[in-house]
Amino acid sequence: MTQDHTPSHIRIGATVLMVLVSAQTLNFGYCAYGRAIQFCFTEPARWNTHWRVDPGTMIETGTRIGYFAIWGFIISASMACFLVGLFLLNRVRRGLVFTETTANGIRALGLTLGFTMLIDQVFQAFDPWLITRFNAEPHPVRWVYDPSDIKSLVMAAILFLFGWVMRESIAVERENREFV
Amino acid sequence: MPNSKLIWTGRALMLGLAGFALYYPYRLYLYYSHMAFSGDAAWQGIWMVDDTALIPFSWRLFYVSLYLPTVLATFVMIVAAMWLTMLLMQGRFFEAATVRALFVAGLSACLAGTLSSLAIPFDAWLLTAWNTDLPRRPIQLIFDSGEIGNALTGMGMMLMAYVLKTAADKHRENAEIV
Repeated sequence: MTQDHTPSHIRIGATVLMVLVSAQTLNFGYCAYGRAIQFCFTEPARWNTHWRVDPGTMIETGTRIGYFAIWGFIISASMACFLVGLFLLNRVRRGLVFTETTANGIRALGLTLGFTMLIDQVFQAFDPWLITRFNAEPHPVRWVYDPSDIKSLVMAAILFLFGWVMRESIAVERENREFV
Repeated sequence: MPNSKLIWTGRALMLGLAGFALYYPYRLYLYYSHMAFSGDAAWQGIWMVDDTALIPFSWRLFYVSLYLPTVLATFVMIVAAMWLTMLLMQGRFFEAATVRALFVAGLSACLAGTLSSLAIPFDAWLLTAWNTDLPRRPIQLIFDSGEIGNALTGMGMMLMAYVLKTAADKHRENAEIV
């Protein structure tokens, strides 16, 4: 499928999806970073009065900074997934579908999404312990089952494999065309 | 024919998917049977619910049924993902079966994300509806960004399936010409 032969309804579909993903990217970034900053710094009482935290517990600044740094990294990784998705949708909108760059982009999206979900799963195990670190009895480090993350991991796996096979198929198609 | 690295990666993914296909219904059975059939104590253990709240059985069943569509859609997604992985391992890229598998995986992921996002605003309201001491929470306009991300990724996969269908038709025409 060349650039000029991508059907218009595919380009329109990609454009509509780009608008939705852009809106969610902005909303997610604003809300997620905002919540993290409020919880750690601008509204410190939120942590002090968290339902898991013993009343009257003071939370050290170093712990707040560390908590924000970890969540900030995970939020940034999630934003990277959205940006890679937008990059791919833009290529579809421009008709640049069956190219190696697009195939590599799909693989990259699978890898980024998989990485983000894995570190989210790891940090969710530490999250209650960090929040309750200054309690008389801190919450233990324990894996938390999050089906939403695992669903995303499944899709990341599909995208990664699909991008890989797509790249191989594009190479085979190119060889066949040259042969013909 | 796909290279051996791809095949081994596919096998590893199939193993992970099969594991999740078994673990997911098991966890669901544990949680939802506990919430529906273990009496009031299951609900009273939740931090936002009164220790003395009495929850009618019909209400507990209603709460569980709210998430059933999401559960079904997720299970279809896992099965479609396994089917697609199997096809890709065989190198069957420009085929109708691959298009179908990709579309079903995307559609079910989109449905699972959307239905879960629609159920979440009702969750706290349903759990606290029978409180007498602790506050009853209203229906809130809150969203799980993870589920919205899943819904959007599912839409992207459906779009990819449609693109692949168009390409597969052209591939078949070219093959016939050759």
